[in-house]
Amino acid sequence: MKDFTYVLPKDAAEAARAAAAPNCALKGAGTDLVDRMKEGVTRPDTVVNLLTATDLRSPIREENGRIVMGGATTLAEVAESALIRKVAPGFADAAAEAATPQIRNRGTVAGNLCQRPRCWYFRNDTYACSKKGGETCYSIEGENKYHAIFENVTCNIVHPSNLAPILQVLGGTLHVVTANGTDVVASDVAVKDFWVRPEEDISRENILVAGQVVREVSFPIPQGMTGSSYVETREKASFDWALTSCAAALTLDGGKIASASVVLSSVAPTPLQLEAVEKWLVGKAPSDALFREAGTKATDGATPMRDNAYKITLTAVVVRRALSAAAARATGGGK
Amino acid sequence: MNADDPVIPVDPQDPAPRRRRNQQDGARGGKPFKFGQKGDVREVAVNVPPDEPPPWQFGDTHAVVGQRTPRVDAVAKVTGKARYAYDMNLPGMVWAAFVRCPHARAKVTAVDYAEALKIPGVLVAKDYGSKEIRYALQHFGIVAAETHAACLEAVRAVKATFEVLPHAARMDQALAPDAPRVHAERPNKTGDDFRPEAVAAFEKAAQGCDAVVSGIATTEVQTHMCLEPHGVTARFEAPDRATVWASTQATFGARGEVARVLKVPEANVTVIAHYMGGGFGSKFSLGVAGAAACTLSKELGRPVKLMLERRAEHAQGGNRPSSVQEMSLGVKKDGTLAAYKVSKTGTGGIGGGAGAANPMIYDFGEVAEADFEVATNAGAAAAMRAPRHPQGSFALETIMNLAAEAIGMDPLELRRKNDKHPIRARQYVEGAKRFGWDKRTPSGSGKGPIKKGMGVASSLWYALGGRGAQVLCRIRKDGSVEIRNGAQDIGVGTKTILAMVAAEELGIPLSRVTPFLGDTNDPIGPASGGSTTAPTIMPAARTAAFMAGRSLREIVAKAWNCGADDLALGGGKVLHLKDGSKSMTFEKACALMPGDEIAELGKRTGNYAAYEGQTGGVHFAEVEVDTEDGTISVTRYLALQDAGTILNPLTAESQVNGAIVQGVSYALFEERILDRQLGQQVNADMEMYKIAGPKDMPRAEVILTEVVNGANNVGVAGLGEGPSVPVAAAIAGAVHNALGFPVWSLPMTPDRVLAAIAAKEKGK
Repeated sequence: MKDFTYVLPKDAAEAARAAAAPNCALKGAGTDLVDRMKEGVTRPDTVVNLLTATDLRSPIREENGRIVMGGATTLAEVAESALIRKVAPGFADAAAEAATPQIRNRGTVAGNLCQRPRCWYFRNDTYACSKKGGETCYSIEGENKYHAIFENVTCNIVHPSNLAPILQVLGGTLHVVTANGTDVVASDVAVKDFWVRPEEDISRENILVAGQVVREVSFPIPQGMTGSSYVETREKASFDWALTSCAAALTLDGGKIASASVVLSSVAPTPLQLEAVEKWLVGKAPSDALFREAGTKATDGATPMRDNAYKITLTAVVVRRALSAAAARATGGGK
Repeated sequence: MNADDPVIPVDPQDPAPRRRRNQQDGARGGKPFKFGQKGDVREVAVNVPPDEPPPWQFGDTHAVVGQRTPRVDAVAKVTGKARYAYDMNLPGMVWAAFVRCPHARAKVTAVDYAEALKIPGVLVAKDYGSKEIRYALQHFGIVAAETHAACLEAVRAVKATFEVLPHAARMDQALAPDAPRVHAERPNKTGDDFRPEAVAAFEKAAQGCDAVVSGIATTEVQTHMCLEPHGVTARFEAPDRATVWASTQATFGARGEVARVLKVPEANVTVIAHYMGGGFGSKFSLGVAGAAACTLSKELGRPVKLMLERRAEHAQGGNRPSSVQEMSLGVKKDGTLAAYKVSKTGTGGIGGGAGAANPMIYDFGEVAEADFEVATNAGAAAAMRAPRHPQGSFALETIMNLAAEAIGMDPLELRRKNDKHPIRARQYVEGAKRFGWDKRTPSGSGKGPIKKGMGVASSLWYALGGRGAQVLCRIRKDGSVEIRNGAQDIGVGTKTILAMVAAEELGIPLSRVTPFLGDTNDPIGPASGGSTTAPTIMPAARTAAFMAGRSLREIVAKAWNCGADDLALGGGKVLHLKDGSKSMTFEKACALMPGDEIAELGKRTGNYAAYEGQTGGVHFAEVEVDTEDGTISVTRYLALQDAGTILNPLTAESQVNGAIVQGVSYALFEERILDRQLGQQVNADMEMYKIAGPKDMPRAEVILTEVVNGANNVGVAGLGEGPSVPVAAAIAGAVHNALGFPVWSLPMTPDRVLAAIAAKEKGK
């Protein structure tokens, strides 16, 4: 690890100004960044520790029909929040499923959304992979058991964030601050517009650029008979990355699905909004058979590689399970 | 070991030859003693050597031994006060690290160390090791610096060019027709094919069978990946001495290696291993890191720390070889196993040492066996907790389950019929009752997506120890007691049982005894391999305490004007056996000693003719298989394990629990995944190399089957390896029962489970 300048900003504005420095890395809990620095994959000249920015620690609260929280809210705080558990249990589930108790006690919401992919070629500095500026995606010919089965063209990473799909399902927003010289301006980005596909820019996974910091995250409180869920499959019960994951929100009206939002993750470089499945669900009565069929439909267009076709099966499973859980919560009067 | 040699030698840990070593034959004229287990007590004649106490017999009771006793160093460990080799930071210490090649086969053609040497604090950057690279992350250079950070930056700054050669890192690559040779002098695949006469005998016997079942079991390479990596902190002390803090399973072996590397007398070398952060068979030698650190320390005249970094620990720290085991088993309707044919192929990387202990345990009738080794451009294998056995057990217990199904016999009954070992015979019955085996449902009969199943598998080991230890017992005038041996406690609680044995023999509370292990200035002790540490050291410890106690009795006898044999030690007192009115506290007795201390050296003598030469175990597992997402949850586990005399039930159970933890991990998760391109291990970390965590653990119960084996004056049996033999096999048996068919590949990850289910459905 090489020497770096360490910045302890007092608020998001100061953090954004510091983050404008060349070759700067933002650190939340550091559970991802420090690993990358030790591996030599990321070698920043400046590290900005966002944990000292007080407005990133704003509490989880209800505000104008939305749930709002600071970007540095921990996963444990989300998982244990009675408010979130009440209005959007799927969001609490997604936080509770992540990593280990130790990491959830430190890991942040914004950090979870912005963490870099876990691809073993990306994280090994002796592989000059295309994401690191090289010419090859080694997963194409190499070991691709955990890689993408959708949109796997240029770079076959899968999006690693648990919170990303559920926040997108809930119509969430990122409240970003941007340094422009000494000025700092605030702007909002819809979660669905936050992601960057490898074909757009292979070097990053979201739209944030130098001088930008996620100050807060929010989502509208679901209305009516709405249920939300987050479900994943993985190899280990303790501390593992999802093989496939799905977040869903269903709103029921008169025994029929009035609206559906379904986002698949861990199977493509970005979270995938399943618009065709959503449209197909609307107007139908929820049932196990319906959700089973939805699960199968969700696998349409999959392009598995040598070692990851099993993820197709697991995609159908998580979609069905997520929809069933969301429907049960909607009918149960839960959210 | 030659510092240029990147190969970590495989310890020949095969226990079989050790079985009868040192055993007393005949014991003519010996005294009869009662050895055995509940329901099977035998009289065995033993010649008790002079200076040794008589062996503990069946029915003996103990005051300290057998009590559930927390580790004497528990507080030091959980508070971080325990200092491991990695924790040693000495004044003036230098950090060292290897420079490594990312390719599995290459020639190092040029290396430029200039940039590395420019980094402030960097003292050394130079060639070290062979330029012929034979596995990925093999080292060819070394750097040393004032700080760890500077050291790692210097490694990055070294500019090397390689002539990259075609490699055969994976076994499939090494077996390809045009594969490059891993060792120039021989083909990649070597070994012993079937003997034609054995095959003929197998075929003839198979014809007389009612069913012949077949299958191919595969297991993957499991890396050691010790939490504390391989390495040392070494301090050369000019002109001719050295102290080395090593993460080692063999302090005395390491001492010899340090002496050879530094060309100093062994007497001038001290190796210290007060605490060990993981040793499962891969730390018998000083290792490449240790040898390099010693050499650098001598060159620089400063202490040097060199511990393998995590990726290198996977590549260079040793592993359990893979296996492909192709089996056919013929069985008769009554459960008689009559014909067995097995061909085994596996890779131990560039180091060799593959092979599976298959067959074992059961009487298979006519056996035809072929055994092949495939050399690959991958890190060398090392002995790993019951080498060859877990992979063999998985395969043969799986084919046993299939045979049971073919003849419609309960799999436990099939085992009982073909395994007459007296300890396991008892364990089958006790275990089945305790586990609720009668509630096991027929294979594949479960409804719904979550299927439950139960499995059983058996264990054997040879763990009675032998010669190779001396223990020093000192009684001080103030009544305190020291018990000393120079071997290591690799984490299993050896220090604690050492003190317990001395306290038992001297009739004093445990708190009065201070145990010392892990310093080669103390008397010789064994390497911790083959489950021999406790059974080798403890009899010598008891002898030392007996001799010291006898000296104390002699002092008191003089004061009381009686014979030492009239006196006994017990309850913290010296007691007169013939005159109940006479007794003296242990402290008062000690105060009578003419000098400052009593010091006695107890020696480990050979074993007596034991009750049984093998130790036994029977394990039961219960699983839930989610047939939708392919995950397996081990819900319950019961291990019945013979441990000889149980010195400390608490740490003995822990050791079995540890075997269960490791076995669950082996069965379900652990797998070295080698990139077919560069040949590197892609999951060489602690994140994608998946190790079972707390939520993956079953509700586990351990029943220690007490067997007074009489192999020596203590009769404790090693527990390191026996319990780790059958864990994956028992879990696989439960999965088989749940699904109705076996999953033939370890680890049983969701992709493999789903593939097995899909294949079965396709075959319908």
